[in-house]
Amino acid sequence: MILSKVKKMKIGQLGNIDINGKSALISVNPKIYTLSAIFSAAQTLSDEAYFIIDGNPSEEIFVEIRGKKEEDATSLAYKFNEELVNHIVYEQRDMQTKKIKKMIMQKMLMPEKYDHYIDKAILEKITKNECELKDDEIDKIRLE
Amino acid sequence: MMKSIKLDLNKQFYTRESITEAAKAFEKMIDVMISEEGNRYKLSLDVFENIDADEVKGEFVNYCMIFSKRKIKPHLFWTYNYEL
Repeated sequence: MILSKVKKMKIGQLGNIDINGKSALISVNPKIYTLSAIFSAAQTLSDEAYFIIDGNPSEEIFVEIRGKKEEDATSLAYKFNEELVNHIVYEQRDMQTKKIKKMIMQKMLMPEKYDHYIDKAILEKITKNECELKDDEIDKIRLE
Repeated sequence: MMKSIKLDLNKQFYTRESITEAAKAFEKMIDVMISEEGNRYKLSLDVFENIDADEVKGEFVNYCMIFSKRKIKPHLFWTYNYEL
């Protein structure tokens, strides 16, 4: 469904938004945007709009937006898309630095004699100031 | 006089606990009846006539969404913005 929309799309036109009067229906690909990113984006705009989330979390998610005041549905939909990107970037960054942050907390809270509990490879990364993990390392953390 | 609003929420996105939490938050304004049908929660909200039904409905669903999100993503105290 989305692919057919994307094929029809012209440059500069966002193909995931359907405007229906005062409300907008946005379709989101759950393989790109996580459920928590969608919820976070909606929560960020919850002062400006009402949201209903529906669809299938493994195939396609629909977000219906209706402005609380007279705000244009199109601009709210664009704002939502923007927030979605912000949150997914934040989540990716969070995931990349998750292990490092955990290690830093452990190092801060635990006395030095327990240092052997800390993963040596990660500790080395901290000391070298390499705070980003590779994609396969992120996948491992996601599975944990 | 009360008027009744029907609501239909997908179970895959809204938890039962979040709906009851939202119902608790709105208890002075509305009465909520929850029933289940397949993978959906069927809600009936009874609202006083002098209250804007559309506004209450929208706010109620927003609350359900926020409470459901907490179950999916409990915030970490060291994240830069703990409210998100």
